[in-house]
Amino acid sequence: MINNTTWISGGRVRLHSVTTDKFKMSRFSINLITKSDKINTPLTKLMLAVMLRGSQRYPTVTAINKALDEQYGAAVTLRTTTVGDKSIHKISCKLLKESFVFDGDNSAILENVMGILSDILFSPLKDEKGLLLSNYVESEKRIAIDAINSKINDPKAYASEQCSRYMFEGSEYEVVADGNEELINSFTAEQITERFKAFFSECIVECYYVGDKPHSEVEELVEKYFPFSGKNTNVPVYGEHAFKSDKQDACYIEDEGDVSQGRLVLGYRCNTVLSDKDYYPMALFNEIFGGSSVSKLFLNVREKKSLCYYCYSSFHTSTGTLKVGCGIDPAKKDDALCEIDRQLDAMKRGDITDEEIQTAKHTLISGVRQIKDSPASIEAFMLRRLLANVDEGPEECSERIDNVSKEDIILAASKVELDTVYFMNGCNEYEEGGEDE
Amino acid sequence: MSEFKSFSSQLLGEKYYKTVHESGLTLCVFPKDMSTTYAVFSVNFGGNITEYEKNGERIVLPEGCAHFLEHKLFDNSDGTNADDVFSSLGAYCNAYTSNEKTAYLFSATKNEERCLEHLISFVLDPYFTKETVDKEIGIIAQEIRGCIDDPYERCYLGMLEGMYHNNPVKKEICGSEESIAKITPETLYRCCQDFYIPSNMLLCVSGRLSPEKVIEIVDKVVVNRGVSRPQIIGFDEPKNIVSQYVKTEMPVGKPIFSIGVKDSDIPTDARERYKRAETINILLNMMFSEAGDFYLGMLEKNLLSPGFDVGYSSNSKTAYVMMSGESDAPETLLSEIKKHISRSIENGFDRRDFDREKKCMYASYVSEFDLTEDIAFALMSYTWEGLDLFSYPEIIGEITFEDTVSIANEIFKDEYFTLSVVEPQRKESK
Repeated sequence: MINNTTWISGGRVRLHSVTTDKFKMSRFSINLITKSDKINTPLTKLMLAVMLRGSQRYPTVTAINKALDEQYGAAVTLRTTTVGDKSIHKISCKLLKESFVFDGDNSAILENVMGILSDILFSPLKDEKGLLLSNYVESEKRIAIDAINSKINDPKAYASEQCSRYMFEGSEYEVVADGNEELINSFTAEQITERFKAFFSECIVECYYVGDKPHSEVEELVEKYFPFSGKNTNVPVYGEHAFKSDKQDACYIEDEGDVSQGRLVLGYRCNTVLSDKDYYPMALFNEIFGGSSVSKLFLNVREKKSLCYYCYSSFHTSTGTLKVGCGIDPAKKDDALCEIDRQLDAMKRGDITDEEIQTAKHTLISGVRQIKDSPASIEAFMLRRLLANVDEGPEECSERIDNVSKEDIILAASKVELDTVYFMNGCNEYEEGGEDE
Repeated sequence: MSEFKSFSSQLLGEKYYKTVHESGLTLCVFPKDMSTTYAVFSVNFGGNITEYEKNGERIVLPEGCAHFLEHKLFDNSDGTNADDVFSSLGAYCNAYTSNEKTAYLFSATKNEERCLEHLISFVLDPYFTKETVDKEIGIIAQEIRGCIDDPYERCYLGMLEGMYHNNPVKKEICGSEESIAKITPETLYRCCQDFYIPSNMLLCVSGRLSPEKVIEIVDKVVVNRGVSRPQIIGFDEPKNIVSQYVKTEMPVGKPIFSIGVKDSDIPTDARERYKRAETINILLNMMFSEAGDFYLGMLEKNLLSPGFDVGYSSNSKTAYVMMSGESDAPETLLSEIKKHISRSIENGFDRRDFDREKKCMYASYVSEFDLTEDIAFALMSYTWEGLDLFSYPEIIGEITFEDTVSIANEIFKDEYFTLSVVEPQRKESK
């Protein structure tokens, strides 16, 4: 694999490529990056969704999809996420390696797909007043609101998001890419068109390519099809810092949910982000605490005490927070809270075996080794480190994991503070679910 | 020593090896130059099997037995868990139970040989006590409640209930809190003894292990137990459906629907079945994909949200078309779907749509060969069906435009449609 990075279009666009013959599908993505903003992030997300409804050459979603399917089902996805205080609008596509096309067919898949994306981004459909089409705007608003209202369909994810919402309220990390119903409802075609004019000249553009084409060839194509101009004005500075709060005691929030399984989520501040020197000790802490099926939480809360079906912890490396989630019998909530707390205390006191550490190291290092098996993982690894301003490759990563000591992990554990507890109380009784014992 | 037969694909530049070990175990090895090695050890015993005959004795199992067993096989006699060993080897391990099969798997970037040996050993070496079985009942009860709270799962099961009278596919794989309470260590030992026998199992490995290495490990840990495969008691399923409409109320943002079209004409020959399935899938994509006018029309009429999934699913006993998604008016949408079907049949299909869909399906097949995980699973499903993994391009190559047109006339009969809807709960009681 050969890595290469160059600035193109007069320094307006950066292309990162990994040239390799290993995969049958290649990957190309455009990442449009800005500072997160409560209004502009959801507005930009909506704007891009509207643009993907039709462009001058491909005026309907049918026309766009037909053109992409013609390129062997080139799957284009748009995804907006917030990473720390930044918003990433990612348009990515998975493309069949050109040597696999049918005999006699046009094989320039990458170039053809870039042509389609270029039309979508630079030649949107506008009405006689120069506005993005209001029927597409209204339709996409409805779709966005439906998606917001459907979040409750997945109680596990919903409870986790609610916990973050309460935890980050009033901080720079409170931006939710989807916005809320009221906000989305308030957006107009005028606002979206204004956003379109401003956005492409203010965002940072980072393109990634993983596939068999040499860097220079991809560079030429990007320069030809993505003529971003302007001077990035609202540029976020790469680098991250952990979420801080002056709360003395943890907040406790309880909602009534029509669910038969209660959902408990605990949000912690762990005061450590990817660029911090104790990042790897914290990652190992998380792994031992609740990151796997041999973790303390899984073995004690689920296996020993049978308090739940799932109990895990996850480390959010761009905000420096950690969440514990579990699905429980509502009657056993206090037992579960108590047991989770006991396990955290045990780690703070140094109740960690060498075997646990070794196992956690093996798991994390194995995860790092797997990165080069998938174009999407390769890109995610590189972009994540770019955003955090961390210059390290997978090999250095593994080495750093391996060098962590037990003392480092105990020190990391001591930085973990409970911030918010969110509980979705299960109050629904289904016939087939039976009553509590 | 068992002789390997090799299968190669010039198109993909790939090769795999297959043999039946002297124990009766079928082995497939697909060497691949990736960091991750993936192995799936599967048994022909899934959630649907609750009644069988062995040596003249008829046995009825509590529902949810296969899934329960899958959980409990991870326990070792020394009080440790099979997971511990994989974790200490730096590997990831998991298991799942489907209607037809139970599968145990690992992925590893080193210690592959030890992982494989451990995978086979723990699956073939059961250890249960009353205490551990009783404790698991509590854990699985929580899993069952989690499924009850999943509106998509409920909607899907509602569709199956609407279509099937006797086919066990309509039952929850985990069973119910009531049925799993009947499970004892004896039940589980019995299942192991009757189903977990090499001739009823399949091992698929993709990654950095050679066929020679795999057979060496299998030689070491698998012995021929010389028992015959159990006779699974079948069921009679009439052609007609149970109900055209199944409704459930749950806390959801907007109504969720699953439309099922029951198909009872299932070819017994596996290759024919695959060909029929792919013909129907091409047809469904021609009519309902996001590159079609129908999808756009429904989006514009606010009858459909993005994320409209359409596909055909089939095995030797069960086959149906399923269309699922979210809509404010599922019944109106269903009538639009039916109108679209009759109109398409009447006005004829577009050959360009057919050619394009074939390209998409071909690319999606090729993409499966980029991950050892996908390879191991694909190898598993083709091999259980008795097919060569590389036969797919040939099968879709044989499908003609005319095939899709003629199947359209045959599959969409009004009387085989079921609509299952999960509607937002009315809140009058609060």
